[in-house]
Amino acid sequence: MSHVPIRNEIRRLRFDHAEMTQADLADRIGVTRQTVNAIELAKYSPSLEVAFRIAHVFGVALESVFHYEAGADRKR
Amino acid sequence: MFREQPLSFREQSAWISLLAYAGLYGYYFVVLFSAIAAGRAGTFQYGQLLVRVMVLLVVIEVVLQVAISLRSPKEATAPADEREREIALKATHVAFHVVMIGAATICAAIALGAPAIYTTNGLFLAIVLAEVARNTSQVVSFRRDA
Repeated sequence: MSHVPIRNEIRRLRFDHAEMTQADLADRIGVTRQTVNAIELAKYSPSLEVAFRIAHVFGVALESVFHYEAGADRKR
Repeated sequence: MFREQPLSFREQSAWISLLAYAGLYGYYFVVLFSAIAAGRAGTFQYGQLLVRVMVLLVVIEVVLQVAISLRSPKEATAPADEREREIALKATHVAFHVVMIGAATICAAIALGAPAIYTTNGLFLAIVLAEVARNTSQVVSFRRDA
């Protein structure tokens, strides 16, 4: 869980949505604030369900939130 | 309104269990091994000390776990999220290997005719080490993601 080849736009999307806090987002998708932080820092890859919930909260498509970096190997 | 905690409820809980187990059972095994090293293995009443340590562990765990629950009531009552479940599963996997190695070692000791004080405490040590390994694995995973 140390590094994942998936980047995300969560920090920017939070900022664009009235500077939503990590805690607010966590409450809305049903995880802890620390898990949102880990996802945001690309230290943890969420399940598809949580990924879709994040996209739903921001009202955007999944690919507008997460980007897969081909070639960036997962370090375990 | 509760202040936002830098550590999640489950990480705090893992820290409490880790420190309580390592501290109290560490004390127990240091006293026990000192008695054995001093040649008092046959007369040392380890049962009484063990009961005291276990009671103290339960009291410390209950008091501190209740205290962190009161600080973060929402998190304490919420089910673990997917990342926390993944961390717990990995930690249980680590603990399983520790307890299996301990059990195999004790089986060998019994087969070789080791006295009861070594086999019973050895088995107990394996269980304690497994619990310490489980909590250490959780703390390391939580810290790595922070």
